[in-house]
Amino acid sequence: MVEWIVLGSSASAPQFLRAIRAQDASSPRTITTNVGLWLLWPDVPDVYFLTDHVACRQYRELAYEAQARGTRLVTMRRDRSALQKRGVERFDEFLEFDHGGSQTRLRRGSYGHVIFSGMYCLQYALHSGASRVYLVGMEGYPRQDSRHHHSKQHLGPLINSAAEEWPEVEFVFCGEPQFELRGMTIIKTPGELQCVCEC
Amino acid sequence: MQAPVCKLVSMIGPDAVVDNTTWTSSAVDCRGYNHARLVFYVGATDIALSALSVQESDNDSDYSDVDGTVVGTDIALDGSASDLPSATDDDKFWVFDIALQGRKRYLKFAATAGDGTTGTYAAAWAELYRPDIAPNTTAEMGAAEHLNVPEYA
Repeated sequence: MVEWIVLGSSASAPQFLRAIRAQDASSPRTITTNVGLWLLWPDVPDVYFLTDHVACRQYRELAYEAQARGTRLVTMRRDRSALQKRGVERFDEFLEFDHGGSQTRLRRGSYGHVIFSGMYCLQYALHSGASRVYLVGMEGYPRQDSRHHHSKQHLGPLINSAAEEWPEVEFVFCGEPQFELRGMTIIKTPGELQCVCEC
Repeated sequence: MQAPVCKLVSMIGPDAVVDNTTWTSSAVDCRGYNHARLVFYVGATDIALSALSVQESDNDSDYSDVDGTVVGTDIALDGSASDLPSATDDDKFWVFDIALQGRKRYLKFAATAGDGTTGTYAAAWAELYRPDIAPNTTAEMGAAEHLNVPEYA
């Protein structure tokens, strides 16, 4: 079984991450993005994804430190000048994307543009042959946040589409989703993880 | 070889990142010119544009799309359907060549950034060619300074 932890940055992420690592003996591979690198530090993820120009400015130096310690750095393929401006030209992997606008559905065989960096991480894990995916720290923006509509309009539909498109993959969502989810196990507290990890 | 005579007009300055908002485009007064090249330059971006076209007006007030300039709908020069700038199209140009005979006097861009988490930088300008009366000063060319390197003898 190839297990992945797709690590976002909502507040519950650290405690769920610790719980999975303590209970899942198979040592899942970890992918994260943006501030997620700090959640793991001084440990480093297997894969770190960085694309948006603000996040690239903030985290590229730390990313290269992680690269020196074994992390594979991934970004989107762009023109060389754009990669240089973002400071990501020395990354390890440059993903090709379908041309077009933001997608609300993930698909096998190609990477689609989405507005959440965490959803690029999910695509990467799925295209890397995951058989179980823990979605950690991906609960979305709370209702009082002005960006809450993004969670409802994009995050929920994207995660649900992944479960539909990859029915053979077991999805374990950790935390309290700010949107409706279908076709996956939802674990609301770290204590509930034990059965999932041992099954 | 003579440098082409052209007037430059700024339409969208490279000012700030824009997200889920329409850029404010200055209008270009095309009177006295017979060809316009409008250039929309995408800077750092993390989200696709949701709309991009050139609009025209007789009175600089009531604007409508110029047929053939609606990106994502109209056909590009290579015969394929044109594509809106996507989230990875940093540092690319969208170019619109418009023959001005019979067109309305004013042109501007209608461009809207997609609804992302960080947004899009962009700038735009017009290059007006084939003048009735050629501009003969740097200011009339729309430039702050004009440096010219002649043919190597």
